[in-house]
This record gives sequence, C-alpha cells and structure tokens, in this order.
Amino acid sequence: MIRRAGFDALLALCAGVALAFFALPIVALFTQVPLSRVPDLLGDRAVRDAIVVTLRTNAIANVLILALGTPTAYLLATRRFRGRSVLITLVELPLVLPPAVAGIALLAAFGRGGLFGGALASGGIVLPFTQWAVVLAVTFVAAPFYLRQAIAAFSAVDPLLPDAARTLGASPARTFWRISLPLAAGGLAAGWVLAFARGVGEFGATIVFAGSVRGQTQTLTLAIYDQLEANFDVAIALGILLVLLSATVLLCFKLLSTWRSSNSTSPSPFARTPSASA
Amino acid sequence: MLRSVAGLLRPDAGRIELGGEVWFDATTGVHEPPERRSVGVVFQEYALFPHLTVRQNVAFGGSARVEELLHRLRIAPLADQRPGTLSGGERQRVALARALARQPAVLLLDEPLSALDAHTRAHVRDELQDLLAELGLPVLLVTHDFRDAIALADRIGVIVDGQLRQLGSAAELIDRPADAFVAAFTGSNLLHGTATPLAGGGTEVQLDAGGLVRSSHHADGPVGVAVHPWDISLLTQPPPNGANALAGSVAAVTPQGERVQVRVGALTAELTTPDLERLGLQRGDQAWATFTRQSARLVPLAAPPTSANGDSG
Repeated sequence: MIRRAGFDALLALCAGVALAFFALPIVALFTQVPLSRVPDLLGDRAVRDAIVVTLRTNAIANVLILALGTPTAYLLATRRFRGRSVLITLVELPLVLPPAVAGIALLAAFGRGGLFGGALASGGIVLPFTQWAVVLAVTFVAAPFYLRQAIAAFSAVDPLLPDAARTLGASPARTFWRISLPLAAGGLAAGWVLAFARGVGEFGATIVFAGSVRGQTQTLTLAIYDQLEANFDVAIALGILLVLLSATVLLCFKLLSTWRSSNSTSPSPFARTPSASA
Repeated sequence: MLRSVAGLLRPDAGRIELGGEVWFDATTGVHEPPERRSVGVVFQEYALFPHLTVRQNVAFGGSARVEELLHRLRIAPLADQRPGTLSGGERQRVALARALARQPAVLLLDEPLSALDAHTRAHVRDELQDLLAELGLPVLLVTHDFRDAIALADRIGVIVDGQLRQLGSAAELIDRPADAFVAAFTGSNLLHGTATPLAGGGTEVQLDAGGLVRSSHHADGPVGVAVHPWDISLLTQPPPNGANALAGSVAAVTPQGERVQVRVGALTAELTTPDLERLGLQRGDQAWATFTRQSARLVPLAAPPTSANGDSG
C-alpha cells in the first residue's frame, strides 16, 4: 500500500515538474508586460511590417503547398511504383533537417553562386534576400508536414471505393475529385493546419536564405529576434501574439480531429444490426 | 476473376469479350479500363460512398433511371440517408441500384449474400432471384455457397485454385459431379476407397475406413464415393443382404427447417422430422445408413483437366 502510494506520488511529482516547465515560460510571457500595453506595442511599425510580410509570404506558400502537395500526396499514396519509398523519405527529409541547414541548402541551390543561381540571374531573377525567398523557405520546411498527413489521409481511404467509382464509369480524374478528395478532406485539413503553424513559425531557413530585412523579409519570428536588443517589450508583445495564434491553430486541429472521427469514412463501422425491413 | 472482367485487374493471359467487344486480349495488348467497360459491379462489402446519400450513390453511374431504380428496389424512402445508417439488406439494394443505373451490359456480383447475417440471407436471396429474372441481363456471380448458386444461376462453374473443375447446370453438378470437390461442394457425403469393376456390371468399392459399397456406376482404382444426404435412409436394424449399409453411432442431430440432418458414423443423412421420430433414434444409438447402388456415385479424387471453354460467361 505504501509502495503504491509512493509510486503515485513519484508520478505526480514528475508530472508536476514537467507541467511547470511547460507552463512557466508561457505564463511569464503574459506577465512580463502589463497586458493593457500589448495592443499599443503591437502598433509599432516594425510589428505591422512583420505582420504584412508574414501574411503575404505564408498565404502564397500555403497555396503552393496545397496546390502542389495534394496531387503529389495522392500519387504517393495510391500508386505503387519503384522508388516510391525513396520518394516518400525524400519528402519527409525537411522534417528532420535543421532549419538553418535548409536555409543553406536553398542558398546553395538558388543563391548567386548556386546550382540554379547563375541561370536565374541571367534571366534577371535574384532570389536570396527577397520575399520570394521567404516563400520558398516557408514552403520547404512546412510542406512535409502537409504531405505526410495528406499521404496518410489518402491511404486511409478504402481502395475499394475508387475502384467502385471506376466501374461506375468515372475517369481517374473524376474519381479523385468526387471520391478520394472528399473522403480524405478531414486528414488533409488537419495536415494543412500543422503546415500553416510550422510555416508561420519558421525562423532558421528564412534568416539564412532571405535575411531579416524589415518590410521585405522580416517575418514575425524574425522580428522578435530583431527587437530583443532594441525593444524587449515589443518582442514580448510579438511573443504573445504568436502564442495566441498557435493556440488557435492547436484548437482548430483538435476540433478537426474530433469532427473526423465522428464522420468516420471506413466502411467497417456500418451497423451490422439485422433490420426487420431488410 | 470478377475484377479481371471489370477491368480492375489485368490478367497475364487470356481474352475477355462481351458481345463482340474485346475488353482484354493478352496477345494484342488490349486492356480497356473499367470506366470504358459496360459493367455494373456489386462488391462483397458493397463499397457504397459514405459521404454521399443513397440517391447520390445511385446517380453516380448515371442519372437517367435513378428514381425508377429507387422504386424498383424499394429504397426510395431511404434516398436522402447516408449508407452508414442502413441495414445489410438495404445496403445491398443500394449497391444493386447503383450498379444498374449505368445500364450495364453485364452485371457482376461478388458474393452478394455473404455480408448478410443468416436471417436476412434467405430472404434477400429470394428477392435477388426475382430481380435477376426480371432484369434479363447477363450476370456473373461469385459465391462460396452452393445454395446461392442453385437459386440464382443457370450455369454454374466450380473453380478450385484457379482451375475450372466443372461447368454445367445445377442438376448436372448434383447428378454427375466431375470430381470429389464438386461432389462435396454440392453437399454430398464423400467416402474414400478403392474401386474394382464387377464382372456382371457395376463396381465394388473397398472403403479406406472399412466396409464395402456397391455402385451401379463404373470406376477403377482410388475413388470417392459420393452420396447425397437425401439419398440415405436410416435403419435401426441391419438391412437385408445386398443393400449398401454402413453402421455407425448417431453423432449429431441438426434440425434444418422441416428436415433434419443426422450424422451416423462418417455419413450425414437428411430425413424429415416425422421420419426421425418414427425411428426413435437419439445421439449415441447404433444405426445403419443405407443407400441404393444408383445413388452411390463414383468420382475421381484428383482434379481432371478443365473441359470448359474459357471465360466468356
């Protein structure tokens, strides 16, 4: 009995320490600066510039992620071909890549002396330290989050359903639009929410590849870094803004997950009750 | 095989053709995709689209006859529901309606009754029988249950391990099974033994498990003796000389509607309930199972080479 109580106490102690560790910095963030001052602080020009840059770059990046990522995920999920697992690993690579390394890699590819940099420069296109660089950096690090979930979502669709659609005369394209996509939609949305959050929070790749030019490439996270020396309070306010954004994202993700499980698309949960009307 | 006909599977060899249209030919490399074949498929688990209503499901293949099909298959009251709320029999009807909406040239049914519980199965089988007769479409139906096959098919092909063992009407399969598998599949008892032709005609079979059986059919060497349960009578005394009789103790008595299946030794006999009561037999009693020489069919134990003509069914 005492041993059991001792074990429970130990568990509680560990949990307490862990939770405190997670909660304290967040609490500290909200208490460092009187909350009434936060709206003013967020009115700072640097903040507004950062918000505009973040919104624009992330909007474009997310459109790219969805437009290119969805067909890619569908292909990888539903077709079997040689090298498939290699491709899937490739797509997951940026997940484990340190963001700064991603930045360096992008520079190596698109920078002035890089792989494509020369070709681009002769066409008048310079990517590093431009807003498009931010878009590319965000896309590179955030897309795998979407792709991974999207591949899982498409794989979870019962393959018999697209088969049935084709025997009913639907072309592969129509099958994708009317059957696979709607049935995977919940998983796709959940994946996109994660990708969006990752994209907004991107720092390392952006600062290496795009630099931190106010009004051009300085996103909200880069602005925090910039303001640390100059105006710590503004940095705090930015932190609060991003915490609220992240919390909203997490809430959306949770809501989507519960909505998906109540709308289960797998055929097996169909009721097996014998009906008098059969 | 059904998936090959539908175009979902590409066979290595062979030819699939319907009414002059070649859907698949290994030699010329023709392989029409499913959406270009005029097929209607009802899958074993129905594969209804869970995010669409019944009406939308049925209309997916073609919207011309939706209302008519909904009424004909008696699912009109369910038209705005999602498949998740339907019973097994209802889902099957939706799957049928959906397959027919495309006005296919051939209907493919993959074990249409196996996903149903026993109670609804017989009922749905009768309905399906009526519907198929009404439709007048060529139908290719796959099943593991011989009762389904008898009720629903004009011609039955028995396939084992990819090999066609026999193709014929239900009556042919029952009366003249081509081999031991077909005999057992049609519900026959099967005893193994060695046959020796008799001088005056007929055959004598020495059973592996002991005992002697005489048959009016002809065979030589290792055979299976196939006797239908309904051809077996039970006696409480050994029968007079000359009749086939195998003794055994009553092992199980299983009522099946108005008939009852009685297992005596290695054989299962089918009697009417009144007959059984008259005999007064119970589990553990000694009984004799007798059957005529005519009803003792002899079948080869190994599979014969296929005798049918391809898969144009």
